[in-house]
Amino acid sequence: MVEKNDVANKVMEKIKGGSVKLRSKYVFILEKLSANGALVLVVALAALFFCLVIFYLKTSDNLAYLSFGRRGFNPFMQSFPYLLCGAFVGLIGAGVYIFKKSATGFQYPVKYVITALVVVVVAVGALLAYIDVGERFERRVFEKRDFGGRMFRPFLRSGLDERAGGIAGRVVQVREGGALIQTPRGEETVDLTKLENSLSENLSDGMFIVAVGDRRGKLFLARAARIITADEMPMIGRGVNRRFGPIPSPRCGKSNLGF
Amino acid sequence: MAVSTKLNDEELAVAVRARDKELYAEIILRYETKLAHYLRKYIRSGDELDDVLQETFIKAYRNLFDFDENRRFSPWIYRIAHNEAINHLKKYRKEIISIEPEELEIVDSKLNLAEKVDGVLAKEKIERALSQLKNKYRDPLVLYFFEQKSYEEISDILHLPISTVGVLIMRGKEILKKYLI
Repeated sequence: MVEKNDVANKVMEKIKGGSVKLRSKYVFILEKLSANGALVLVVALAALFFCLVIFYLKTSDNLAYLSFGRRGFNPFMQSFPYLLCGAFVGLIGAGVYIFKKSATGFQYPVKYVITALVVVVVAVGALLAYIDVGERFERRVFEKRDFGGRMFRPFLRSGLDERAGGIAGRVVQVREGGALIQTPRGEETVDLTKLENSLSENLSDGMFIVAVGDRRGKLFLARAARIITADEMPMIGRGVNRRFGPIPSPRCGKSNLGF
Repeated sequence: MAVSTKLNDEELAVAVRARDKELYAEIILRYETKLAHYLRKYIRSGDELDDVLQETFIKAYRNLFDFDENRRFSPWIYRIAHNEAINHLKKYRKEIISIEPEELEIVDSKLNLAEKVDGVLAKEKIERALSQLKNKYRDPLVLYFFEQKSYEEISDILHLPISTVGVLIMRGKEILKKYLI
């Protein structure tokens, strides 16, 4: 072992010689500001994603499928906003990590940090949902081709995607045993001859319906269906409007989609 | 140097970064023995220990502006030493913890084992038992037993909540007792 004070001598020699220097205080200030900025950004994004999850569940056809019982489970799972929820959970995780790595964050147990972060995010997210940020986002995502719109499109796109076991859209032509409906993806023919329930009223143009069943090529074979108002799933309504315009055009003759 | 001895650690750290780098020698003087004692728990080789100790003081000096003068200096420099020791162990090997003969009594009294163990606790037995503990139990126990650190200081050094430190020390003691009895 080296003599006592040898360590001190070696260290002081390096300091005096200039080979060991103090790191600038601005480096540490910048590090702290970056960490705080990252935390604020992550919390803000988490709140936004929470708001979008609420918005998605409220305005898409996702939850409506659950009203069909067991049959609606598959389309519910297909239309679930996994990406949004995954991003939300990931951001909460990132927020907890950044906070725990901060100068004083380690003092708080993880469960308290998670709880506090979730409370803040949910409160801010609810506020964002209240002021209709979700709808503004949806418009930007589907109507603008800018960077922000493109970046967030994958998160909301599943709200308008095709589901193998479910369909939702606007009736534009009632036919014998079925209807031609407009969905955000295009026109589709729904066969209602195998319905296991009866509709609350007769179908007419402009009505919205949601149905569960099986897809057979271009034809959707409905097993259960329900007439809904456009307000029940406005994301679908707006999707249809963006594609076909707000008022269903009068149709003549047979469609080439079947029947 | 006379003025520097009147300053507490925190004031000294502020003085070093504000005006006089030579005052850092006083910090080394105050912590060299303490940190060497702590590091000896993890590193047996004298040369390696000196290297790690030197690296600790160099790192502490470089990052002196990272020290928050509103907090205590001791846990801050202990944390640097702890991280250096862990890095050293990761790089090389895990050594059996080494304790001084007089520290046997500390373990004996804090674990209250006197009557349960046959005869005097063998130094090797305690060292082996401590070494077998998972790091998460061993690190707070070492600081608590041998460095006489409070829960709050251990919390600052290991960056753990105080309540977690309490739980880890309690569980660590129980596991240690099982190894020893």
